[in-house]
Amino acid sequence: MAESILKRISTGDNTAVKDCLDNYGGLVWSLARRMLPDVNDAEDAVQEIFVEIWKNAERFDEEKSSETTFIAMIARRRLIDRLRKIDRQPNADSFEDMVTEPVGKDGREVYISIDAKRAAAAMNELRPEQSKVLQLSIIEGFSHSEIADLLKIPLGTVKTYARRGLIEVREILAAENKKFDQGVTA
Amino acid sequence: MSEIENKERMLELLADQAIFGLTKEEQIEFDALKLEFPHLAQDFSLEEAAAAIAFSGIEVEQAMPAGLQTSILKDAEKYFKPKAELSGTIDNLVDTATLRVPERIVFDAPKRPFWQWTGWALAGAACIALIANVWLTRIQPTEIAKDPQVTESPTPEPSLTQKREQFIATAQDIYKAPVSSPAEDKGLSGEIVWSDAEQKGYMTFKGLPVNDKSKEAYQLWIFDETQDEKTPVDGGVFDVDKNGEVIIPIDAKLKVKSPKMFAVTVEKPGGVVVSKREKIVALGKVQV
Repeated sequence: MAESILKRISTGDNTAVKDCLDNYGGLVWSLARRMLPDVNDAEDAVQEIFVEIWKNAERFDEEKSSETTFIAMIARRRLIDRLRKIDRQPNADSFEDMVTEPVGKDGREVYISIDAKRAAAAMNELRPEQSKVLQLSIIEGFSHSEIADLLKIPLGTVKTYARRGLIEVREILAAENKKFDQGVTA
Repeated sequence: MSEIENKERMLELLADQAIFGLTKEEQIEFDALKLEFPHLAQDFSLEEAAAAIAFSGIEVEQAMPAGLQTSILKDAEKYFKPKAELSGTIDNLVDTATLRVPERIVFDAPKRPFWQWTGWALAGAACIALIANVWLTRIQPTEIAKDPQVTESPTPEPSLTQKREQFIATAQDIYKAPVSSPAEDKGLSGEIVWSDAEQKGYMTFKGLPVNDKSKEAYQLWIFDETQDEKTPVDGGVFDVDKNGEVIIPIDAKLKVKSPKMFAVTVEKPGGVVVSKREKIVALGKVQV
């Protein structure tokens, strides 16, 4: 099996940086643009995210998570930090524009990792209110108070839906990964 | 709260962190609970689930702007170059503020006749020859040295911001102290970070006024739990030479074992050995 890009970065392979950018640049950029309304802010954030990725490359364990998920995790941490520092306003056109599943337009490529596909499927298994709160928070970048306003439900309920929904998605992903591992080893 | 309740709360905070991020208060609570449940603090499965959900909703409609790609590749070039050794000049340690070493008492050494130095000179020359030999025969021919991208241009010193970020990312025992003004000056903010293990730390201030170097200097004091409050550890003398955010490395003169508070006073240029604490401009209480 080819060595992962992050492993190569951690061993000082210069070419891996370019590969990392080619493979994940668009994804990180899209994530930043979705969460940060200001393009300059998004550019700064993406630069910080890549430095963070290089710093943490050696911590990546391919036994535990996919490279895409690891990178998304680092990206989200940085973006959440940034959102907390600025007056947060997510980059969604409107609440109604929210989509349940990613859809390709005009032949443009839709990039979804295996984990992301499984996560999308797991979201469909949740109760609708849990799924909606997770979409608004994680995909659209709304804060809990904004979601409470949008859905006209108490703040505590938003948090409860989000927490329970995320924990369920984690359980579903873990079960799927286990099935996959058993399939590989069988 | 019972252990079960604490564990449940820890899980709630882990989920909140993965979804919304934590407020300052929640972060304090989370840091405290991490001590009780260190294994949970190392569990990133909720963050990974959130990341997978985030990517499930992403459609790659446009590539990253070319200019941004170039900037990131430049960042990489700087980041992956071997870290330069500190040259010993204080200027290399400082970008936005100037750190200065306080005045020290200098003892006059007894004068010796020149021949008494001959032995030392010979020993010094032998050491230099040994170092040169080790360098030429063992250290020099590494893979990194063969890479023209790495060896062609001089290595830029990482900025204090980068150093501070790297320190926070790698130090295992970070103490954090949010900075406030004892005079309740709302314009002052910042954070002090410290690691006992590394005996290193950084101060970040926003709103600390530029000082007149000819008349005064700022001095940091570290109140250590193991030290008498009357004799805090001198954390270094520094100037602020620009408005906005400044980052200053801490220069503790004694070993710090468990800091509980940091204070910044205004002193005479060069600093003092014992502060009268007449003008305290910033305080930072370590969060637990």
